[in-house]
Amino acid sequence: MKLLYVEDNADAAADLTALLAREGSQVVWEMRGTDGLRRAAMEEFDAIILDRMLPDMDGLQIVERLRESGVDAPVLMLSALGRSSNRVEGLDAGVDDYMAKPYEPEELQARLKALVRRAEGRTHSAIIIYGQFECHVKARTAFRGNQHIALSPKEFELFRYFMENAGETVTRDMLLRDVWKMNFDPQTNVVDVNIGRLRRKLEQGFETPALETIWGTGYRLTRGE
Amino acid sequence: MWALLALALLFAITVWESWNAMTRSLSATVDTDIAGLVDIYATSGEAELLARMEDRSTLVSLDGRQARYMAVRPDGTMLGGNIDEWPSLGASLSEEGYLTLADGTDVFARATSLSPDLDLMVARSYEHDWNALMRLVALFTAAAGLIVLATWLVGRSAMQRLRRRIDRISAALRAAEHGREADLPDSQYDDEIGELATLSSTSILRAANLARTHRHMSDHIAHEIRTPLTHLDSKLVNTMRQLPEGTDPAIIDKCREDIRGVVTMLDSLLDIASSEARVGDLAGLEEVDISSLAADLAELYSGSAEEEGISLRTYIKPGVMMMGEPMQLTRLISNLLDNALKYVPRGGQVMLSVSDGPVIEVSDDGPGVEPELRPMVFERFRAGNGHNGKTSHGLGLALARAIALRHGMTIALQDSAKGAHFVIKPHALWGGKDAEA
Repeated sequence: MKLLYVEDNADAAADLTALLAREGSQVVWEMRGTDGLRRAAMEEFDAIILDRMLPDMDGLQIVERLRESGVDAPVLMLSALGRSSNRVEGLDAGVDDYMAKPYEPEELQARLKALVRRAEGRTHSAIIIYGQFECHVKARTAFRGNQHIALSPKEFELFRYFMENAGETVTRDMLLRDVWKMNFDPQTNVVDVNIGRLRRKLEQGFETPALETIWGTGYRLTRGE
Repeated sequence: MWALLALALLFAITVWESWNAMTRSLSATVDTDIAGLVDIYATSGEAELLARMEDRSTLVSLDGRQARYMAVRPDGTMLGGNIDEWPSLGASLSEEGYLTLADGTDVFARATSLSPDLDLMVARSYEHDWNALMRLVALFTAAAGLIVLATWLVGRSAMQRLRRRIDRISAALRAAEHGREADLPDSQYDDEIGELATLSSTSILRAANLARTHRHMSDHIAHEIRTPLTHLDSKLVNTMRQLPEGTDPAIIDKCREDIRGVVTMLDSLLDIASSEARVGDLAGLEEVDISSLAADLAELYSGSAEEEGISLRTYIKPGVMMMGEPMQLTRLISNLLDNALKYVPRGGQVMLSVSDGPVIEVSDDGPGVEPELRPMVFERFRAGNGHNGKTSHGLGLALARAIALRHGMTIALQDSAKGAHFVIKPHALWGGKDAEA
């Protein structure tokens, strides 16, 4: 992935650039908002990582200017302003994803990948097939190895989300945001418990696991084979 | 109103005085004429009197009053004059008054007895006087109408000007209340409304400035604390990567967990401050189906409750709507459910209900809160230990209270025989029926 990273804190920039470079991404770092805007207009990027509180302009303004100038690369805002209201402001301003600092490196990578996948326009057909799993979107039914799996409406939403992100790590924040429409993390382990229920249904009668737990980050759907 | 009454009284007095003046004038004219005729009768006799009456009948007066006469014997025999029939005036009493003659002419007349065998009546028509009086009435009415109209127009214009000025103040206050940019009311007039405008502008500017300062302060606190913590966390992650094979990373994990704990506490404190600063502020509120929101949350929490051996029941009336921020309201109910699941032991029950009002209730049959501690449960850092050793910063209920207040609601921990019973309902100040702190 080729990424543009706009961040005024050199230490933070060095940490994240090193992390992303280790995963094979090419990172272009700009320290100022105006330089970031200029760079985004000159080059093509798979995604843009944007700090919010920059010395010369607000990150939300940058997103607005990017969209006005026709730059449609997905933007992940990585901000020290991580309250629920800050996230709502960011998403309302047109940011594609919003993460608060400090971040979990694996989660950042997972969400960047999800953003790029979405931006590449991988649309899903009425039936999504991954390994042994089948998701019939319109009929709202799930199958594993031709065996029907009875799911509640919310469990189906969860299953469908995993199928749309098949093979990729899905974080708790992504699930809370996209499946339950919540932008804060409840104190109770609601995500883990709901995943546990889905997992039991997907694995009942099968020997191979359906969902892998990525420690400290989230979950990944296996091929089930 | 009083001005109109005064005008009507003035009008009545003027008409009355004019009528009296006309009567006095007619009476004087008639009396002068009678005096002259009496003199003629006394000096020259009846024939001369009748001849003079004849002469005077043909004269047309400059004031338009036509002279009318009648001389009769007491038995009614007509001797002369231009009145055909004796009207109902007593000659022996020398009566006078307004009357209408047989030919339809309105006159003012006096009857008198000149001698035992001669009665005389002298009259004057007063059509011109009457017309003059009517013209006066018409002029007065027109002038009064014009005065009333002019007063009404001036009053209306002044009222509209005042209303526009007050509307500008109201609009500015309303815009400020809804979080829009306020067009500050002008304060160029040196009157009470000008002073009100000045005070309103000052208050709006001060409130906007406070909100901006509060926001900047919150953002900077978050930024200045989170940035070094992020850097510290990155260093811990790098250290963890470089640990020799087989080394237990538990200490580093604990450090990272503590960092997240500090960040969560910071966010909660800032959220509480932000919600408290926006009590009564309607900006950003939208219509929310609180029933649907609560039902979704109940479904989300049902698995966790089941896993803890707790029965989560709901009594949610469908379609209850309220104005609010969906995410904040989600957090409010979520915090109460988190709280209940934290304290209710295995085998217990938690009930979430939503009814008209809206009234949101979360009750349980757990250990509840000691009566002496109840007033303090919504204070910051009032944490207890859950049945399963779960601990927190003690900010969940403080945040729930701040969110409730921001939505014009109150949250109270009700007395109950067993367990805790939280009730959220509209505050009396913002339209609720009950006022509860």
